[in-house]
Amino acid sequence: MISSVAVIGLISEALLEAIGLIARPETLMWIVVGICLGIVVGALPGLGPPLGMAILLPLTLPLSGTDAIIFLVSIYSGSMYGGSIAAILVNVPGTPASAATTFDGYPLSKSGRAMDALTMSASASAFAGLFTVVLLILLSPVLIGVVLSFGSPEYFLVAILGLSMITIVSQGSIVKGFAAGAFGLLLTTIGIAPMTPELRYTFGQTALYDGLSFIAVMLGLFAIAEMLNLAAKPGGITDTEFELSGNMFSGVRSTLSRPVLVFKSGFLGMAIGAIPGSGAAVSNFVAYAEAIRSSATPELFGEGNAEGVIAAEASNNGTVGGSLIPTLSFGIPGSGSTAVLLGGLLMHGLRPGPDLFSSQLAITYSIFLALLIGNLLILGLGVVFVVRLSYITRVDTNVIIPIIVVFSVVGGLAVRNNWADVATLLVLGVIGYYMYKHDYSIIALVLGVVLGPIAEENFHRSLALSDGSFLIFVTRPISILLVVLTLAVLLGPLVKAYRTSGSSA
Amino acid sequence: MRLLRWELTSEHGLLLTLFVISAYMLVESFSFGSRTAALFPQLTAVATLLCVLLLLLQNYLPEPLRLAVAEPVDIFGGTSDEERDPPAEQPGDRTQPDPDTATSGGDPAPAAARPLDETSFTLLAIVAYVGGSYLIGMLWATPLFVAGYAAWFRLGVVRIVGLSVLSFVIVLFFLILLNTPVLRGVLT
Repeated sequence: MISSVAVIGLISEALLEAIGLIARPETLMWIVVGICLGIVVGALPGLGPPLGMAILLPLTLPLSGTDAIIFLVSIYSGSMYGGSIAAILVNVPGTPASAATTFDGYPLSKSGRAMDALTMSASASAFAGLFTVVLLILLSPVLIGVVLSFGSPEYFLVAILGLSMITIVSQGSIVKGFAAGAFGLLLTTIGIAPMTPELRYTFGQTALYDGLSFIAVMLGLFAIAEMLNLAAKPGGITDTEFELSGNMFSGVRSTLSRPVLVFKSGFLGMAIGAIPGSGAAVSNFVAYAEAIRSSATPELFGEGNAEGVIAAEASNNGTVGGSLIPTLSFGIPGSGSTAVLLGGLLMHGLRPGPDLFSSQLAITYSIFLALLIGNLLILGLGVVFVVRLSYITRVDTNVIIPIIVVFSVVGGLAVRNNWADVATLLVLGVIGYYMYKHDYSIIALVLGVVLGPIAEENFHRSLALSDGSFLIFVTRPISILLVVLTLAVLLGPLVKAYRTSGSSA
Repeated sequence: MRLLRWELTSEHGLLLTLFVISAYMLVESFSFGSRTAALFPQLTAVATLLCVLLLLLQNYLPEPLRLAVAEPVDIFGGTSDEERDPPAEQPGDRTQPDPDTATSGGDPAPAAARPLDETSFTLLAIVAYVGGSYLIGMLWATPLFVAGYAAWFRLGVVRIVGLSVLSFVIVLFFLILLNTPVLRGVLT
């Protein structure tokens, strides 16, 4: 275990370096561009952060690793606020993370307080985002200690635990989730094996030697499949007429007058975001329910109560910081957005885990600081451009679909200049569409693909350390804990089903 | 004894696809020269096969097992992040002409008048676009795909031209920025 003095020294040095990285004009520009794009992507129902981040991922190739990740994180953060725009104005959440925002946001809009609701959302998103990022920085010494105490067996086990968590937290049955996750892992075995120079399933095609591109897989699953889904919903986002009235500063004042609600919802979002598979869509509802429970006037919720908007919007931006914990620490993304983010990390040669918390700690802190700046931008943009934001909801889906398809196909080709990647995104797009249709967890499949190489490499490394003995996975207390947790997660639903059928018999 | 009455759905098609792929990968893994290279594919292929078989045969399983296989599990009572569409039945969901579209000449036809539904057409258009890009080059296939797509959905001349130009610019941007091979196809 690393000493606390060494950790403090490491943190101080990394923070100073991170400030230097963030202060560069081009980095600041990527934060601004990312936040703006994120707001647009989030405001367009049917798109959402994973898709937006996935189609823009190939364009980050010329950027430095730090700038690319900061850009992607900014999109993610901006989209959390963007999702509230359509939710408030037209009762259609831009992302599932803003579903609970419709409950009070839309009634506020209908009662002539749309601007109040939008600026409430912007300020709640920004303040909760700031609070959780500061908390994340304060928690980082603990994280560093935990991350650096993990070895190969623990990394393999934590990958399996992450996949297991996702299968039970995500939609559909646990077996559907597990099938999707296992299939994702299986797809990553195409190409050269990690520990031996053996070719697997390449059919003699050099294009497959490096395996399937996880970026092409994500483009297929998040973009192509989603566009096929969206095509069945003709027309634009809405034809609902709305009047953008109200007072923008009264919305900010409403948020400022409820600091406990903002911080509590943000903290709930952060805690839930740190659990793989349970992202902002979950925290959104949990924070909303908690706001009702703790409110002196619960009967006013659903009729345009400011507390409902503030709680929901504070929680989803809080989730961003929380979801970075498993992603950066163990390479276990908690959602589609963080899966794309992890893909970006790997694409730019940044390995999540020990490196990001030791030699590359400055990069990790620069991501946190970018989030801080991004949240301030959300507040500024949300208030200044509140009148213009409504235009986004007027976009016709039939205009969006072909452009997203073009971005995806050319992006799929651009990553490795390899037509096998274009075929991959097409095939996975079709498979993904039917998975959407039949309630299979797309996230589990994506995570399988992203985690596969990490899991296999650590699996073989562990076996190499133990001369082939599987006992290495149950030797250390932390390993045993991870195995027990995984079994509990996987067997829990079976036990529950057995009890249910027993009691109904 | 229950009769095996199969009503084939697209889900069965999906599961059979997963079954065939994982079965092939499992069988193929036994031909690998190294045990190390074969172990992980074998474990993941077996896991996939087992899950797929459970899902295919879920109606013929004992009740506790059937419940565990078929019933959704949701420990939070919510949905997974960014994975689902927003609620489907929204007041804002639109099946009527877009006033904006109308002004630009858009005239969405009723689905019944179409030989293909929107999803089938979109899928075929994407396949044709990828195939066309491979044959003649993505830079030239892109505006054709976008124009065809926009024309099918009757977006109006202004939008068709505008979207085609925009798509061409996007591909050109990739060519300039990343030197993506979009100029030529196998026929050109």
